[in-house]
Amino acid sequence: MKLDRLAFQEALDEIGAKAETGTNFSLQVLPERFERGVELLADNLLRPAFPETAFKALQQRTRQAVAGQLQSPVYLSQRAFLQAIYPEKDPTLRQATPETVGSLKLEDVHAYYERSFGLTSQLLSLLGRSRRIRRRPLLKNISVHGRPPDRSRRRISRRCRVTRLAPPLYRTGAGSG
Amino acid sequence: MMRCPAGQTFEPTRQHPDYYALQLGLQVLSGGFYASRLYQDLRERTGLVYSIDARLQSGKTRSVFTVSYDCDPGNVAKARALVERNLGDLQTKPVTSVELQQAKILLLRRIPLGESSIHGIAGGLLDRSMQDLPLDEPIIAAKRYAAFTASDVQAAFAKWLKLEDLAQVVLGPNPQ
Repeated sequence: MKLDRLAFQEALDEIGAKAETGTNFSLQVLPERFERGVELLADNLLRPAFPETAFKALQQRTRQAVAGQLQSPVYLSQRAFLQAIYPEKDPTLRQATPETVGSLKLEDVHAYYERSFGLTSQLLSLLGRSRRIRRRPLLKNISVHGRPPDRSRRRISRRCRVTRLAPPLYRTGAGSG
Repeated sequence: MMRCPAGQTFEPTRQHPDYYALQLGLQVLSGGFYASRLYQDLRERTGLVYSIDARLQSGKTRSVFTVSYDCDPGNVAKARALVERNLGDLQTKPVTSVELQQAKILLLRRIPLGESSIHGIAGGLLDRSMQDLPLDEPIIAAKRYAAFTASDVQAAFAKWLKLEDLAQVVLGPNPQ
């Protein structure tokens, strides 16, 4: 489909769904619209449009934001703190500069996305009236690229619900202090 | 007003058994706002700081322990000395039974609250998967919290907290 930002939002509005994309992605949708919701979310994740105009605008905005951040006292103090507690070449200490942001090309974004957003390593948690939801479209959608996903599901039984066990444990804890 | 974070990295990861004892000690230090040791000592009793907070951020490979406070430039060193004294107390003396009970209640009540929304449940399951924790980890955590004694908390802080390694950065005018 390759929907742009507005078309994607319109398609979500049509089914009353809410979606977030990126490294942490989510979908909130009524069970009867689940398949369409997954289709839209999967399309966004698997075939992001990354238009050149948007890339250029965001690159410029990020470059200016980074230039300001590098002079911000709050940022500098946070960085000094990280430098004090982590070893010299710790990955946490990497930082973007206006030059590194400015040198990026759209191909770099595509290559990074391909490398880092591999859907074979995604974890999904599905909550709701799951008996009414057919999982097949979900698995079909996320296995379009790369290897098919690990379809094993880790289950916790209803008896393990924390909300049921916590009150008695609380009483035990208070008494044993 | 000065912003003064002080901290160090901790070896125990999120999966380490001592994580839970350290969390209990943190509640004694700064959980429950005015009911905590740091608030009572540095704000109520001495008026050295406006706010103070102790945190433990634990991940798959390491943890970071921090104590952050906001104060006037003239109080930075005095506040730091009291922070160190409170941390030292945690390492050398067992917390009182009332403090331990309060810390347990704070942590145990958080567990059902974390499952009180769809987002909370879904996010919790994902977080535990990414941290290589069992999916029913909140139940395991509750049992551990309930069983800990004051000496367990003291032993964990004595083992992992190195007061001499506490790095500090001060944001604001030159501290005194």
